[in-house]
Amino acid sequence: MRAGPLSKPEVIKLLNAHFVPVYAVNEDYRGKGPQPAEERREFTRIYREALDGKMSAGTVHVYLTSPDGKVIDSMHVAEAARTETLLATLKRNIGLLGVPAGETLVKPKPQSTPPTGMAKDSVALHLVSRALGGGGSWGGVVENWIELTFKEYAAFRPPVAKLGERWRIKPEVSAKLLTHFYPSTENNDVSKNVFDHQRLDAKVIAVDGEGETATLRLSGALKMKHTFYNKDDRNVAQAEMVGFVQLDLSTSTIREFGLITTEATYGGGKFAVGLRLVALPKNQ
Amino acid sequence: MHSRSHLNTVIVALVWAISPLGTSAETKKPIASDAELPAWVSKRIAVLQPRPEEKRLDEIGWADDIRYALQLAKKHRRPVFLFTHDGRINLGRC
Repeated sequence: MRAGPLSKPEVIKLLNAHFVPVYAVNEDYRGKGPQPAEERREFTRIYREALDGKMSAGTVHVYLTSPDGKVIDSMHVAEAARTETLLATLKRNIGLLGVPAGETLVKPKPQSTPPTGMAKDSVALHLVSRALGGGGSWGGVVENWIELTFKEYAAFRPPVAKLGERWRIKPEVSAKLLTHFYPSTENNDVSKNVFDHQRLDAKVIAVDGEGETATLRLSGALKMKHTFYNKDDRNVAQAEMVGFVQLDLSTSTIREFGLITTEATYGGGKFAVGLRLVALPKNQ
Repeated sequence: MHSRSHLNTVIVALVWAISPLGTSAETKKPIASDAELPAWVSKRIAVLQPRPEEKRLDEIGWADDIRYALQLAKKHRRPVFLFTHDGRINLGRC
């Protein structure tokens, strides 16, 4: 949907001018998901109302409601992902309801944002994974945000701040970063990823001032089982990478961080991952 | 006719392939000198970033949740478009 109809100008125009668009992540509405009870009630009501009205209903679906909140139409994602089908459905309902074009009700804003509620001394790393052809993934570009706590990024502080000092980053810290090194797949439950091996090594390549800052060279590799769907398969992500870290030794904080794959394969195709530090607004 | 996403893949793959210093693994031979490393890594990360046409989802005025969408619908007499899904559409991980 994201790379398909929800990227098409005509669909975007109709949604903004005639509808109130909203998306719901199923995981957020189940079990320990963050959505409150009142929100879950509306989510379930809409699903049930579609079922009771003999309309299409399911977890990966488009639902349209009237201005009074009553479900009036629905479609499975396989149908909705066809731009012409979705456009026809949107136009038909606009016509039936007689909804005039108007202003966009919610100001559009970036949807991929750093995690909220991060600890004050944490840093946010932004990951981009892009398919480079050869198949094996859905293609395109995908993202992740990773919070690294003060305790975790302390693993990048050299045991001794001298040129040439080498050490291996704690495996639990490198694993937290590298578990997201796979291209776009249906399965995104990283708790199911299984490393055959993973490592990230650091070496001090510069120490500046009176030992105030240090620059590290990173090198690493991984081999990780990651299934394409939520059922078992033999797909494995393999990657080698290089990077750098600039540390403020007086405060033990990270000034800059960059990590990039030099080779990466998954399911017969190639992909590339870049991971970098993102400065957050002070009030975040 | 190729889609825009296919063209983006081709463009980035080409940039990747012809990027100076090649793509040989760090363990085989250094691919950037220590002095060049930060700029080299940063430049390649920049090449990978989503392009505007890959972020069109951001051009849609999404309500923050279903209850807010229903409130707005009632107030402005508009229908709600609700997309339910697994994963994270905002990250492309879905």
